[in-house]
Amino acid sequence: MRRIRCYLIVCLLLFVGKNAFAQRIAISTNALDYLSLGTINVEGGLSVAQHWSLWAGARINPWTWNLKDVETRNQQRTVWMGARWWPWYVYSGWWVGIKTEYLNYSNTGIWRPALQEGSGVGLGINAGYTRMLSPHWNVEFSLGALGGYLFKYGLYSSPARHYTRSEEPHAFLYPDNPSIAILYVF
Amino acid sequence: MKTSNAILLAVGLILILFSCSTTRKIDRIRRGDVRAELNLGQDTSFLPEIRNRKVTRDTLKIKDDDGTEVLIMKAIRMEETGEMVANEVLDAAMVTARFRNMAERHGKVDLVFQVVVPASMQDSKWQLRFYPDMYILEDSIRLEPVIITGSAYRKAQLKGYQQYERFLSKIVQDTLRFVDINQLEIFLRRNIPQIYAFKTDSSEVSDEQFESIYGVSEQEAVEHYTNKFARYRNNRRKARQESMYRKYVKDPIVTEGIRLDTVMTGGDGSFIYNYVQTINTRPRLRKVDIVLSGEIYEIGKKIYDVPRSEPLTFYISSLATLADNKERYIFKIVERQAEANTMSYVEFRTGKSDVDVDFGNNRKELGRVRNNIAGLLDNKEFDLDSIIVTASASPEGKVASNNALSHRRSESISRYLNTFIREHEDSVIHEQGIMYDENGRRVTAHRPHISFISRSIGENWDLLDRMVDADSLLTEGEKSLYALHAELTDPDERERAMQADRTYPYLRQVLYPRLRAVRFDFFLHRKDMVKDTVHTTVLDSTYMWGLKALANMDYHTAVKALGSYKDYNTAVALLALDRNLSALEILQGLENTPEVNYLLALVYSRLGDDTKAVEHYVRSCRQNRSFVYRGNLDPEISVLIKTYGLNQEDDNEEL
Repeated sequence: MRRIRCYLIVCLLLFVGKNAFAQRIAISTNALDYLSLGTINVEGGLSVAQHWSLWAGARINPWTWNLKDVETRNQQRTVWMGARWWPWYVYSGWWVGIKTEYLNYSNTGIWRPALQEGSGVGLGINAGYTRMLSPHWNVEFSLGALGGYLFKYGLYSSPARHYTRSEEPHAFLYPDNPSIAILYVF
Repeated sequence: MKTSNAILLAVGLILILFSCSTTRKIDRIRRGDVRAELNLGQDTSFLPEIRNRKVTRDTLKIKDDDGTEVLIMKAIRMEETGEMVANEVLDAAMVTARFRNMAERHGKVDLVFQVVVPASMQDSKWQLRFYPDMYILEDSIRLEPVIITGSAYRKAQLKGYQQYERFLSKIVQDTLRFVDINQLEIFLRRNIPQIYAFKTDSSEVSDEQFESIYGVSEQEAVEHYTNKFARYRNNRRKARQESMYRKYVKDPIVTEGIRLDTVMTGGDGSFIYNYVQTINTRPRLRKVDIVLSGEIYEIGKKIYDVPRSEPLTFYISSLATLADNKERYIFKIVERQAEANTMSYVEFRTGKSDVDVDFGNNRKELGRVRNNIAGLLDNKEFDLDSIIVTASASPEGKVASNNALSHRRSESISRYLNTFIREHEDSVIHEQGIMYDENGRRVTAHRPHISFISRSIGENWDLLDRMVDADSLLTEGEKSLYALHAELTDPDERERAMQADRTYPYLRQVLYPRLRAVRFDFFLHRKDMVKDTVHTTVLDSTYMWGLKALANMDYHTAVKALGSYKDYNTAVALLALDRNLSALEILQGLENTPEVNYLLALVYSRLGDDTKAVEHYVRSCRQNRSFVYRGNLDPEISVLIKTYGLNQEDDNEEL
């Protein structure tokens, strides 16, 4: 929690102390995430030049589901920030971005009854396309990959942690955050 | 044999048979079993006014030369009874002659013939092109072709056009189509909203650059949202239009410069086209030949050249051949005597009478007179007889001395000129050199004797009066003052009175010099002419020119030239221009020769008076048999011949 707060403060600092009217602020939320067991997410952006914008966002999933009498959860608390490069103009068209991310997750029952928990930091890249729907609303599609290091990891046989399979911190790399998002530009 | 093999064989044979069908057709055409040809159609006269005449088969009553009345009707002599029985003659269904007589009218001839194409030469996959060639004098002209297109051929042509149309439809003319207007507008609204503030503002705004906060202008945005590939592709298509046209439309449908292009659909009969070609006649044009040749095309390629058909001949007759080309002469009266004169202002020193060439303006004046005289001496047509020299003087000084002075001056000039003439003649003889006549004797040049007569007027008050009267610088008051002085009878007194006038210096300086003039009158006669007048006949060039224009079919010039003579040839020229009533007036005043009778027949036929027309024609034929044949050449007469069966009588008589 301390770390999350740390990152959020850093993000907020970015929004302050600059000429507010020369930039455009955008806020978005990813619809697909809601499908993965109700992950709430929000993302904010700030354009700094014709081709550059800064991003920061958070994802949280506190729910526990009981699907077919199996305890299922995809809990996570993730926070990230990064930058995007737009070849044409911010908030319209194609883009590529990089981000740094702190993640903290605990999921079970999605594919197997084992419990998997971990927290780590990572570096991700993603790319996508933003289509303008109106002067303020956009829809965005993107894909990315995340790679980093889990400094705390646990894999248990079941949510009750009867049997510990592994508790090694290790590096990771996987595709991350497919998104169909709705973006609002102020 | 297996059934599948048999079927294959059968199918193969059938295919071969079908593909051969067109080649068999070509073979038949090549062999000459099937051919297109030229025909003369039924003869209806080409002159519309004659074609539209109502044919009334009445009998005509005409008066013969000697006053006897004759009845004309179509009749034949019955063999058994020997009497004349009226009958009708059916028109022939088809004329198979290969030549026809056409008459030229108003400088033009209509050549009418038929192009006949048999059904077996036509095929829906073929296009037949027929070219009538016209041979006139040394020229050959290809007339407009007649084209017969088969329906399958035409469909293939149209298919090419359709393909081209489809290609054309892919070309976008509106360049805005390539711009994603939707996205562009959203982008502009979001990032360059200032533009939209000006949208309804109609004030004059220069091309300001609106920019977004990051310096992106509207043009850049438009360019970004343009589908560049589509635009490039469209431009490529536009550039390729020409070559695509040539690729798709290999056999364009021709609409210009052809006489007819018809699509035969059913085509189970021969195709007959009545071809009419109007040509302008020219001199010496007597005959025109027309030959038909052609080509057969299949899928845009020529597969056969139709060989040339037999020629059709048109013989052209013209009214101009009826003209009488005898030469005409006119009388001319030639006079022996002639006159010429000139004035010159030779200046003399006061009181002196000798000719000083260097004094004042004398060099120029005397030079001019010498040139005049030399010209008259050298003239080939005329000889100089005598010269009268008349001198006059101006009024200052005494009358008596002035009279004597002018007399002396005139003599002096006469002597001067006589010397000049002698010298001139001597130099001419000198140039000519020594001449010998045919007998070897030396010929001495004949030196003409020119007599000089000198006269003098003295003070020329008459001329002065006239000059003052006509002078524009003197006022009326001054002129009346002068007239007042004129009442004085003594010239010296008068002069003294005038010296007191204010205008005297003007008179003295401007008008007096003009009074000191010498007038030369030259009297000449025609060389080698003895009698005073001679009457000769000369070729009337105007008339001959008019006849030549008539022969050249330049009828307007002919009428202009011959108009005033009002004779037979004038009538011919007027008839050529269709001025029938004027021609009739002239002809009625002429003696009734066979030519005049023939022309009268022509005029009455044109005016619609059949009775008189036939009367005159029959008379003319009776006087001169050759007009029987001439009648066939002129449509006005030939229609009469046909209607009333005129020449049959003569034919029957010959039998």
